[in-house]
Amino acid sequence: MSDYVIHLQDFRTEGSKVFTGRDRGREVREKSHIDFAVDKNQNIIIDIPQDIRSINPSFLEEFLYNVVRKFGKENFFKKVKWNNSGRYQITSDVVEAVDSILRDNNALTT
Amino acid sequence: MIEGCCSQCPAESIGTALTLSDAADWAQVAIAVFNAIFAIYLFWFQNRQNKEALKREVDNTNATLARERLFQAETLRRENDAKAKDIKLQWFKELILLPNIETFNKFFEELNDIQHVLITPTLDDSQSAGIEKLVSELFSKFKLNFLQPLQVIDASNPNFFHDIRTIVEDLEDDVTRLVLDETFVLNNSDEFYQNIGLRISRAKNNILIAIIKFDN
Repeated sequence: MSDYVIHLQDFRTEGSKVFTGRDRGREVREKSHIDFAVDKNQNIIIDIPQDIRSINPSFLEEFLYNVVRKFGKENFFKKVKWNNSGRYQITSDVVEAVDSILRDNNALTT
Repeated sequence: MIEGCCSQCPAESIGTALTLSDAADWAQVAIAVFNAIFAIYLFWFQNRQNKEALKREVDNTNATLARERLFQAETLRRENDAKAKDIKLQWFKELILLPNIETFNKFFEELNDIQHVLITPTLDDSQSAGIEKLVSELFSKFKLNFLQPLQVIDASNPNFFHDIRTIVEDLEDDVTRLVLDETFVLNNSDEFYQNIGLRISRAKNNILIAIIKFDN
């Protein structure tokens, strides 16, 4: 099994330095085929363009929704890696998004 | 040859007289039978009428009683619903709203205060990373302390949490996008107010409207 690389640059609005919004997150999830790739590849590498300044949790929640629900928090972080050479530090936003997805999932199933 | 009763009555007239007498007797019997049948019929008819009248009366009484019981049950149900609603509202107020009012007000004050961090017309990489981190931390803290507790009442009012979450997320998206947008001169207080301050104020009002309209 190989690694599947998603270049966020391919889904970027021209000139924008941020990824925001649930709608955009859903769109990138579908266009990047992350939900299918996660089963057929050992790792998912998400490459963040160097000049990106922010990726909001609302975007990440929709983008990663199915993967997080499928793998849970611990395995998600083993399976999905971030390639980030810019100044923006994504870790806290990803953790917030993952926690929110899992909370949402619990709220729906209780 | 048939003999008459006397010399004046011929034998034929005696036969006829017997026949008429018999007819009169039979007629009396028929009338008596008819009277008896009619009396039975009248008794039966009257009895039936009485039973029907009684049944109608009982039905009417039952219907009235049933309506009254239904009305009482409905009134009781409404009263119980109203009581349950009051209790839920009280819990919402005591457990969720009041403990977080300070968080709510502080968040919007701190969000407005980011204009004091925007001291230069444009931001260099280090400044924009700093402001992004500040905005991200403010929203993250607010979502954890204010928004997350609202999720527990989502089961009884599915739109309440999602409506407020959408307002908060839209504001976060707007503020993040705008503070990092180099085309705005955000250290100018008027420009900050027009582009960010108004959105902050509108979002605050919309959250307050959603809370006031809250109906479990």
